[in-house]
Amino acid sequence: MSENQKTLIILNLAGKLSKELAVYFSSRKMTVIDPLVESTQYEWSHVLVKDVADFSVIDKTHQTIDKDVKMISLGKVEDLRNFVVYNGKLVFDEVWLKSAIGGFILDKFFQEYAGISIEDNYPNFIEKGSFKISNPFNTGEYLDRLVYHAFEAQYNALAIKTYFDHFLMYLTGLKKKGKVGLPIEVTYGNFNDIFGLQLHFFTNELSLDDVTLCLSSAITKKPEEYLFNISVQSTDFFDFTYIQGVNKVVVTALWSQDERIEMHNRGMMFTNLSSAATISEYPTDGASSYLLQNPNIEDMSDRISLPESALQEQELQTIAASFPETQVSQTIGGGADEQETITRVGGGKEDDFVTKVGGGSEKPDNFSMKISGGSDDDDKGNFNVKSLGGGLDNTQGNFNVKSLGGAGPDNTQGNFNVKSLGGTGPDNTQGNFNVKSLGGAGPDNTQGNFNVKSLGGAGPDNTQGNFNVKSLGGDSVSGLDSVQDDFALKVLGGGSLGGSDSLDLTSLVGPSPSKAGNLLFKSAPSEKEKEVELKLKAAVDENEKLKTKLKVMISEAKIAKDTQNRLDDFRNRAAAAGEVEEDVGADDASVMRQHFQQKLSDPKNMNLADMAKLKAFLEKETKLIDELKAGEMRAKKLQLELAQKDTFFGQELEKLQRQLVSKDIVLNKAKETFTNVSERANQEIASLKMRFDQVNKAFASGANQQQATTIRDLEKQNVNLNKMLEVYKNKITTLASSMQNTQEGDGDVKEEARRLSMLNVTFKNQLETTRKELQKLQDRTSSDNTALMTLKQDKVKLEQMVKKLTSEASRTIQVTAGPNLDNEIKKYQSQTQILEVQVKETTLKMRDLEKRLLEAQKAPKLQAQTGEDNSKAKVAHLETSMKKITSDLIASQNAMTEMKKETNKLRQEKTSLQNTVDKQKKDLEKYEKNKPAAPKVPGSGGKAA
Amino acid sequence: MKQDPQNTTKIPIKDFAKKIICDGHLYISSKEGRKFYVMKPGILLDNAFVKKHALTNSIFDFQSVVNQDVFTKFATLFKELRYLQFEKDLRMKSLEILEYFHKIYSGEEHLLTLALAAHQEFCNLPKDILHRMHETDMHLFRKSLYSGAFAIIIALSNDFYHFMMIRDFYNLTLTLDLGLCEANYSYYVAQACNQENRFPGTGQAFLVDQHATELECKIFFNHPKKTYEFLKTNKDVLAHPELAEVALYQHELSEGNGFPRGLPKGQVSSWEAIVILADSMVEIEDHYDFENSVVKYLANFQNTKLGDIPVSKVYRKLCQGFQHFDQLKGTGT
Repeated sequence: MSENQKTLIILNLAGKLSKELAVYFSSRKMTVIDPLVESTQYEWSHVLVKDVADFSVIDKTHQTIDKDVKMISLGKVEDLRNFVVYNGKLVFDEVWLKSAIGGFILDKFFQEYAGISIEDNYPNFIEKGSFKISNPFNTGEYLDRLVYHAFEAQYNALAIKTYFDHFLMYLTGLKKKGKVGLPIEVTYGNFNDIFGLQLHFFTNELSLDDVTLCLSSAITKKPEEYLFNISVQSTDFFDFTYIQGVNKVVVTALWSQDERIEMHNRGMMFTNLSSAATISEYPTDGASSYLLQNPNIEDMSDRISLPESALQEQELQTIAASFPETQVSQTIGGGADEQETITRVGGGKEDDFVTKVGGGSEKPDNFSMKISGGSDDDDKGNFNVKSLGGGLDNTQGNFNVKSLGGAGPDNTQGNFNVKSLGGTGPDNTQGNFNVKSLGGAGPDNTQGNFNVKSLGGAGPDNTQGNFNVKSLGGDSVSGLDSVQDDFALKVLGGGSLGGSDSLDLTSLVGPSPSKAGNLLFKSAPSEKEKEVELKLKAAVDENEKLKTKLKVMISEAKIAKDTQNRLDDFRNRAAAAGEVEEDVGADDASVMRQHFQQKLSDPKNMNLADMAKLKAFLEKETKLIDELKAGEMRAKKLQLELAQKDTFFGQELEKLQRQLVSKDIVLNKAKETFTNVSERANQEIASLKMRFDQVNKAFASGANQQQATTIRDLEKQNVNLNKMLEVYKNKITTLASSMQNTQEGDGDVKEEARRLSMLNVTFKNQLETTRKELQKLQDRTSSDNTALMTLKQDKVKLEQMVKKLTSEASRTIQVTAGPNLDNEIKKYQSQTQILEVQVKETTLKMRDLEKRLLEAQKAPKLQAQTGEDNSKAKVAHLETSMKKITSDLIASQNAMTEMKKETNKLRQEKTSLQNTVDKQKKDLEKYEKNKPAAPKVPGSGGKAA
Repeated sequence: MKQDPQNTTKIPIKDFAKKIICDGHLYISSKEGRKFYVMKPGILLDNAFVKKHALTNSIFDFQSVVNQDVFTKFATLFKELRYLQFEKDLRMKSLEILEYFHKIYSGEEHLLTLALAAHQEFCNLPKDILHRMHETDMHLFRKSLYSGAFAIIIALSNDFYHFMMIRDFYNLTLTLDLGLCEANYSYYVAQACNQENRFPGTGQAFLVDQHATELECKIFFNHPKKTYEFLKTNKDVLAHPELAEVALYQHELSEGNGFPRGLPKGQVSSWEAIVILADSMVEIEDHYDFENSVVKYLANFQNTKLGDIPVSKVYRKLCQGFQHFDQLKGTGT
């Protein structure tokens, strides 16, 4: 064991530990602290609990969630979800320590190791086979082999099959949600009397809460919960380990042949490991699931004997455990043929009513019995046993007596209804014993109703279990003194009452039943069968009601204890008060007592006065007694009020706890969604990064040819530019050197002056040519201007003509009212307007050109005025002006060409207009010629035509 | 089948147009009649190569290594497996494939026949990825092709018989060295990978001996992660995307000495071991001796990786299958 395990400090809230567990802790050097013995505070890593209904209380006191203190329950947990919510990790009954695997399970839990194959996870196991599930609906043959193997090795094969089917469907559901990945690897093997089945698979964002939230005490219709709970309840031990490091989950289920391990002491373990380590390698027997090795499965159906009786009660079916017999046989139900193996219960002579049969006949301690309604003495009444399990040493299984009547040697009469019986044994009797109604009178004078709800048996060491006596008639039942009517008692945990709290059922029922595994008792077909069934159902319902009442009764018992204590206090106080009074009149009282004793010894001496005194004395006493009773009543009332308040507060607390749990769930969901969102964001970022990388790579690798070519071109350009730069640098250097040379030497100045004069001459020549060109342009512009002027004049004339024509046309229109002419005139007007605008624009352009020309003419004049002194600056200025001039020239040339085009257009328009005008004239003339004579207006004078 | 330029047939370039992977030895003759070796089996055919020779109407001397009958048989077996649904049928079909494999490869059939059939039926990688692998190193591509074929056989012998699952194993094995296909991939990185497969934990030492650059070391240690990232982003490649995690196990050991994560002991599953074994069976080499004696090679395979428990388990099951078929042969059943 490593050093980490040495420092484990475990808080024990479970009471007295079994010898085996105490030995285990001491051998592993773990410190177990009992809060009743030691008050020092430690940093607990684990807390041992037992029979706790609400684990929130433990969380409040020990911060199990905040401090990650793992809870270990040593008893059955009613509300598993509540247990897991408050960091419950292990449900481990101490019975497991009596088996070979118990210590190992604890080691595995405390040392936190896990492996994905069964020989890594449970190294003692020898792998018998393995297979892989790629499709959850293709498991038939492998599952058959697995079940066959389990059956052959005398394990609870049906439970294994049930577990596998349900758990696989549960995983399929999770797969649909994307939380479980395929394939699923299944390995199975055994170790001594334990069969192990392990599944492991990939997970994606599967948290322990996803699984534990499906845990419920009862089977629900919600598919996930149903499948998960059925599978968990089909196992003897369920181990769920999540290995975060590799995103894998390992689920191991164990089934034991040990008859002590039952439904109620089933174990469970939930582990979340950030990084799991495994212990050393263990050998395997080399077997594999390779189907070629063993292609055929032997038919073992002849080994199964089915019941002859037609009626089978599903609700009471139990799966028969295997027995160490030479021939394996699983018997379900039973028949009358097996009466030989039946021992008698209730002292019956004849077999009026025989149910079930279980177990093998060869083993002496196998339990098979015949139950008779009659007895040796008086065969009366009905005795109906539904299911009975029991053993001499370690009685296990269910014992359910539905209705018991009849008179036996103990003269038990009336109704005897035992609902469920977990047998009794000298060591550790566990199970449920529910006696519904018991009537009868025997030597112990047990009378009235006897209703035992649940009985945990009694053992010499540790009596455990629930014992609830609802109503008991009779003075005494063995082990219980002064049991009176309407007495409810709960005995929790052994020790306080020692062995006396055990109820010896053998005295009630008859001889102690012999050992058997899980047996099924089946009632023989009878007319009252249906009635019995109905009664049974009613009894089951009542049983559940009683369970709920039990809790109330527990609280009542507590209250009763408290009241008892308070009453004791009260009595003590009263006694103290009495003592004071006695002190006050002690002398008088003693004198009085002696006086009355003497007088009462001789009644003849008694006179009237004495009698009166005696009366007063008695009255005082009765008054005191009444006061005492009133006080007790008050105390009881107070206690009841307190109890009511307690229950109210308890309910409120439960509500709050539920709200808290629901809030936790909501928070968890919110967390999940948040993590999903963040992960998505991360994924997007990652994808973007990937893209970025890819782009970078593409750039690096030069995958794109176009890019490569462009890059090459750019490189070439870059090279050229660099070359150009070098050239210019050289030029600059040469210029700089030349400048230096000019400053240095005077001889060079003359040469430079010559150069400058030469340059000046050339520029002058250039200026002259430009002047000439300008003159030419001016000539052209002047001619153009004249042309424009003439055009303008023509335009004016035309406008006048148009006006005349329009006036004439309007007159004619007034006469003819022709619409076509009107439109045409409008058109002409618009055209003339357009023309006017164009003319304006051209004139503006002309003005601009003229201005530019003037500027151009001014520039050379200014240049001519400058002297040769500022030659360098002038040269530069000249160069710029030359550039300007040339650019202006080009612009003016372009403008001129445009103007020419415009003038041509205008000319064309003018001709077209003239043509139209001519046409109109002709039309008018024609119209005037063809115009008919106007009708004469009567009374008006007229000219001759 | 060794190279024998004499035992060749003349084929025109158009015959290569439909092929993806070269299925034989290819020679080209000069005008003077001299033969030049152009291509070996298992090399990806480049379109540019075909186009170039199509313009000149080149005629090649070709020596095929693939048996077309065996190829079609494997291809049909894989196809049949794809459309089967029931467990027994699937199992029987997988047995048939294994038996046929044993029968064929007990002789001198070239592994490329199976590799080509597997590539045709199982490959789900985009073409550009295949070309990327091939461009990085054609030996790497050929190695991946053979490893993928072995992965199918190992998976079938280890009770994996669903088509989609086997397809995932094939594609996983095929892409396993995709992380090596970086711009700075070098011969030494490939050799370090081989060394790591032969003797786990010696890859880094090899690189140090060869004075590898820091970048090369980085590529070597991160190549499983690169493959994993590729599979995570390209979710269509695998039918079960969660199996992308397997890529991280390429150089992991159940003892916890591997990389990149160095897992704790006992956390390698059988499906990871299948891929690890298939990968370590073929090295990135120019020449392979096992191509014509596959069953013999598999049955006598020796590698330090077999010391790893999950890998040895997987290998044992493969051998058990061969032994079984040998027994069947002996008894005549």
